[in-house]
Amino acid sequence: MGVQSFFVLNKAGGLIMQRSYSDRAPRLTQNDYIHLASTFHSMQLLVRELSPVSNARECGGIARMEATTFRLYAMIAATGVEMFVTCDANPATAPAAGAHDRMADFLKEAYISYTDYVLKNPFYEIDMPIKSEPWDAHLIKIVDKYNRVGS
Amino acid sequence: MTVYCLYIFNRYGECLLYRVYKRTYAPRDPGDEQKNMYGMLFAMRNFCQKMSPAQAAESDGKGLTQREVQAHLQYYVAGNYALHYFETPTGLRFIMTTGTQFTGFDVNQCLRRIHARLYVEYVVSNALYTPGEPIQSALFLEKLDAYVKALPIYE
Repeated sequence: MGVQSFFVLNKAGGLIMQRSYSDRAPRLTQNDYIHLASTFHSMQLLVRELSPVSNARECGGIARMEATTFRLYAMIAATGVEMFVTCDANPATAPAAGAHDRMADFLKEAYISYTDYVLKNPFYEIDMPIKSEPWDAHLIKIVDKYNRVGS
Repeated sequence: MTVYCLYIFNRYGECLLYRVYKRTYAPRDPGDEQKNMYGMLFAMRNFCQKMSPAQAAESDGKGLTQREVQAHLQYYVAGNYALHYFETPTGLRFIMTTGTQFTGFDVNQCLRRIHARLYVEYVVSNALYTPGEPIQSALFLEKLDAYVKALPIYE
């Protein structure tokens, strides 16, 4: 289960960071990524609205989504920043035990590094696209770590 | 673990069936909710197709070629519920919302069974049923309820 694509969205659904970590990740244009991000954001709103057990405010939004060829894990921080990551999945096999928890941990770790590398940078303007080489380098390390555990 | 509700949509987004099981929070207008549901799933379907990883196809002698693979949404888990989705090649969509703990149980398979064993048997084969109309067959509903209530995840 390899990490493929990682997205960070601001609270308005704008794409502020996207990286692909696998050569099998879908090759799309920057416009497509922005489009996907805002689609995801609006999907999240509807998913919360459609909860059969609570009103929209109490429903947490998508945590995990599974399609035949990939899995997606998402988190929303208290500030409204959303992150989601996709991994490839073999349709024939069920995810390994603990795989879901591991990817939730991945997002947590990515979020912690986001606060360290992005939010603590005094030159970073909130909700603007993130261009941070140190953070990129750190993310690659995290991805490598989770790819190793996953194999 | 419970089953909250079941929806069937046709390919034009018309809701053929909306069946409530253990739903605890009701929307103000079920019709609006069905429209939102169809719209959301339509967006999600396109999203999944775009996000699908490229698969390295078998070598054709000139090296590996990348090929797009169709991805179909199977389910998603949100904060307090899960939604399972099955779409037939004819564009019929079966949707079931359940609790979030269903590990080891293939809810998609249930939706396939509902399609193959109940929908086809009791709706399609019913001469009085006009395609595209909401399903009102009492026999179908009876069989469907019996099937859903017998699922191990229903409790």
